[in-house]
Amino acid sequence: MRLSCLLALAVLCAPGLGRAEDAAAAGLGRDGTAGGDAAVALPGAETPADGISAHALAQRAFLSGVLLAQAEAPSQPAGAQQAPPPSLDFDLLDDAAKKPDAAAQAADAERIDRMVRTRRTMLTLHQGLGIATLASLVGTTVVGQLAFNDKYRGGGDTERFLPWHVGLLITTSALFTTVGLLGVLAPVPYEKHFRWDTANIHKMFMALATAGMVAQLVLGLVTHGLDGQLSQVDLATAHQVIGYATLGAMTAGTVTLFF
Amino acid sequence: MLAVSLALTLLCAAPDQPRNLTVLSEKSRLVFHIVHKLHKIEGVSKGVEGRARVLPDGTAQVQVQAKVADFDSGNENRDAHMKEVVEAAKYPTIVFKGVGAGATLPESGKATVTLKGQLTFHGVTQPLEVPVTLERVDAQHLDAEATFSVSLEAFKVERPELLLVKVDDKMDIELKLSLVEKS
Repeated sequence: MRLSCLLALAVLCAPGLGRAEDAAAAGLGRDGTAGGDAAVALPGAETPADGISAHALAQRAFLSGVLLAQAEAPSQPAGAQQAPPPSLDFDLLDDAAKKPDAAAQAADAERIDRMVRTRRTMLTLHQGLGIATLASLVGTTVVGQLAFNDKYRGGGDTERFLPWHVGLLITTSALFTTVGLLGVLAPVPYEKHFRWDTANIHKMFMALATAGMVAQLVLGLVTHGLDGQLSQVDLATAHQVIGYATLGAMTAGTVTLFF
Repeated sequence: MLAVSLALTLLCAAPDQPRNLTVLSEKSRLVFHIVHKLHKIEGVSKGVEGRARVLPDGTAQVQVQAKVADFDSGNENRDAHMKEVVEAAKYPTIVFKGVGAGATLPESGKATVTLKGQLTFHGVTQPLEVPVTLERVDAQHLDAEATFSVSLEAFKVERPELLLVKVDDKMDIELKLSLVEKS
């Protein structure tokens, strides 16, 4: 754009264009570099006091345009030098009114970071122990069924499975309580709004499983206390059904996380 | 003759004005895609801000940002976990700043411009080159779409895990912007 403007000015205001071209050729060496016998001073070197005519100024404008084009022309083959990376020194979204207080933000970030670290530790334990709890509950249910068969389905009432069932029941209850407390007591650093997502469905099933675990403990103790009575079978059956329901709720709560 | 040359000088000397565009947040969105062995996760941020400027020499300067806390994948627990791993309180925004050479805003139809710049996410800045497709909607509005992938580990993001299995490192990001040109 700049060169074309200078050339246009030169054409309009410099009748002696041929003389300007000869001067340019003499001013530039054969290899195209500035120099040579007819050295030409660039515009700006003269002052108004020099009394340079418009014609001479136009000639020099033309020559400076030629020299400018020469200076801008690559002296090496294209691709020999890589263009510098584009400058990213701009900020189109610089809005001082919206910028939050940096000190308050840093303090808040530190507080949240502590909560996050605690939460991550607790929920990692929650996941690992939760899988162990499910496995323990499966064992408790299986051994419980074997004990039920042994007592009420012609197994001979040897009570050989009962100690295992009680032992697994205690282990499962301890794990279940620990896992539940880890989940409930983990800090919540970021606000959450309720929606029916997998996490809340998981919590719903685990709430049902909690009710089942509590009912099982009570029913188990009451059933054992009614040993020899007719009503023991009914309560044992209820204990069995609620046991399977509790296992089902806990399994559903775990599987939900897969979706 | 002198008057003509003066007029020509003024014409040559008058600078072109840069063209300024602003992202309409309510019509724009940033979508991220992450893959876990059990899920494909898609999250949307509707709070996208941005501006673009096309200089007279055809250079386009673009800056777009989104708040990490606005990301919504449909699962509050997952979103909260995502905010934890990207430390949303410390690094609240994801920002792209780029420059494109020889950019022209299409007067009709589509045009493509490649932006070279950097993406700042989780306090880490990485270079990024993004081809952007522009489509003229009307005299003042344009739509812009771009898709690119990033590595979570390159931005020092601890990959979230579920049931002891981590999500994939690659995160695909889609930008769908509605722009208005302001004089």
